Amino acid sequence: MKRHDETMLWQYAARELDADDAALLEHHLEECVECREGMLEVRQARALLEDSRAPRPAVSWAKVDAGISQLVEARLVQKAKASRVGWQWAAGLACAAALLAVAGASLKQRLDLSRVAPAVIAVATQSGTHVDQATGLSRVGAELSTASDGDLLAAGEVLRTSLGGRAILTLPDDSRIRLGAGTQLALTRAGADDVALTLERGRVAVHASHHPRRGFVVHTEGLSVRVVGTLFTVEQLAGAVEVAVVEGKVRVEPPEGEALFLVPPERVRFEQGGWTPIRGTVTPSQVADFAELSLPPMVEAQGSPRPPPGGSVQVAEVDRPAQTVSPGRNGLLPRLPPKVSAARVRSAPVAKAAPIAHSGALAVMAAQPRADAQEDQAGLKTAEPAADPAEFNAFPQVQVEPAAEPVKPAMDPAEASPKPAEPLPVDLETLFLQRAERGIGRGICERYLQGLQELAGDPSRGERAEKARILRARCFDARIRPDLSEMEYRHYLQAWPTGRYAIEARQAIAE
Amino acid sequence: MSAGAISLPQLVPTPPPTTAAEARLLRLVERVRGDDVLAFEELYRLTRVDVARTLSHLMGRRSDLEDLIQETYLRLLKAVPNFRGESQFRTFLYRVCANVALMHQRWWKRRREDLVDVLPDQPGGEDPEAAAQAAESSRLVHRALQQLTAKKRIVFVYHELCGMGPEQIALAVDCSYNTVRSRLFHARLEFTRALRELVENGR
Repeated sequence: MKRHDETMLWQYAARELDADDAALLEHHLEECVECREGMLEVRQARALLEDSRAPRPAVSWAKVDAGISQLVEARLVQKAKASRVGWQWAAGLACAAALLAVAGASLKQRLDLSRVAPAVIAVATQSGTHVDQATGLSRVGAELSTASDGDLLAAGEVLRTSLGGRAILTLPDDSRIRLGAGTQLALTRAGADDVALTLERGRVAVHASHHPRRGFVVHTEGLSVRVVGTLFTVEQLAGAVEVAVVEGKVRVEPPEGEALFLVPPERVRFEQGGWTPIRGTVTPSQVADFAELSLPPMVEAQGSPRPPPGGSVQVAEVDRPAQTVSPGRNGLLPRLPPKVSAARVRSAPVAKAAPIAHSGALAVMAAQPRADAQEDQAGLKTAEPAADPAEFNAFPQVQVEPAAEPVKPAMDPAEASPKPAEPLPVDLETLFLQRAERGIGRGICERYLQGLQELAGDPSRGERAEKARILRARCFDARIRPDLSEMEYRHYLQAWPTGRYAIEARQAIAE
Repeated sequence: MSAGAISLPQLVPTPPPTTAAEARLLRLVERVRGDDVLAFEELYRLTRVDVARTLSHLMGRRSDLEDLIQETYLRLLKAVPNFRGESQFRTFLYRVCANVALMHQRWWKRRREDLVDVLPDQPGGEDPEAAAQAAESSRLVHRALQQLTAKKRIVFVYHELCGMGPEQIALAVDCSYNTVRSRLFHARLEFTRALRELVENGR
């Protein structure tokens, strides 16, 4: 058998011969024993190739992923440095122009550039954003640095979780955010009264507090998700954007087409290349994100006073003196020592909700209906009517003042334990619980869920916390959300195994 | 069969490239070209298994496969700005894989070390017997492939294991269509012979 005859056998086996040649070869194979053996060899070789095509080689993907992450992060740092240089040039030119203008207008006026520094610091101190828990969280700036539990973050920072990482952040308005694996998020604005996040990749789950504010928006791929309610996720997938709501309500504004409201358990997806919403329901993995967010923060924002809720006026009041906080390397805030701030808490007769000074949970319900809750559009789902004004009575406002004394690095456990929030007048909380209970029967209990969560998460509320937890479970039950309802009943039994509603909880779980 | 002039194989042409997966890759590549490194990470996630498999076919089971994969993506990131969309992206990726394989082949040859590290494949599938058989086949194929010269091996692997058409291979290895046919012609003969010797020598 010649060499080219052998390759004809391959071609025949691979169906690469035309019909005439194939017929000729078949005829030859009937006569030639040697070629038939050759054909058998070729078929065996092809069978071996077929077998070895599929197996995946054993690869330590964690190692490769880490290498690729380093490569990508190095590129991001390069980009940040390049943009920084550009910004410095622009700033330099702007300053030069300003100097010339001022000098030309009046030589008598002296420039006081020292005012610039406090202004910059003030922006940083307004942001009490901090890391609660983090695994594989990095800050992307002119240099790449790792962010750890308790670190303070400044507005404008870009955060990134590794492919196996995740992180939970608390914002100045007590909202909490979970960054999933492989997520990149820019804290575009992170003030107590105005939050804007830009999701560049991955998934964030948001538990927005009920603090009154100008806005809370998550941008991604030109899409804007405005907070009307509380619990939702935004995910930028490859070629698609997805928003899901577990509790409350969000307003989704695609770059094209009409805005739409989402209520639990709705999920909407926008495929790349079009902004036609594809509706669905929340997935289990999205619900799982919130289970993690609903846990109390493991690390307190030590040393970071919680700004009071409300508008910019209150924010200005919590600013520390410039000398107490100075920007760290590359303008990033330094990590504060593990010491609770000696910030004093005082009450003031300011309306709206009041946060406690020590934990991620809220001491009281922020029951003030926000203006954007009443936004509506023709053809869209109608926003719920404003609740009875009695639900939203003014509470004593907690405000935080900066500490007079410097923070000590050592920490006395007794001293470190956060000062419990001042309980609200009993009648208001009781009133809220009564209304929430009635809301279940009227099918409007969703609006109370966040307030109930805040009560239920605060053990110092005693029976009211217990009642709040069971009401949350009943509400989810009534809204036909068995998964969330069961989760609430389980939380209840963990906290109050022999409580007043333990039998109800056990029966519900058994069902 | 009659002896005559050598007839190069008439290869099956490359299938049309416009699949949804390819379109998705091209969108990501466009973003990477716009300096969006996050898109690059996505590209990595979508293609990494294919790259690992291709490199292991080209280089054999090696303990430094992870390094080769990283090297491939480092080169890819540098090379993507030059991708003009004249071929499928996978062809472009295979070209980078081939370059990495050739470079490491030379590097190892200079050190005169054994190219073959016998490492197990990832245990997979529900049938352990089938998985064991696949692993054994894979080991035998890789040992036979080591008997081929690097250039012939690349063409053979791309055609027989990766399912690439001759035009694609010509683009991936930067040579003419006829060169691909010629290399495949010889590679098939050498592979069959190497396999026969391995079986006769008890593997």
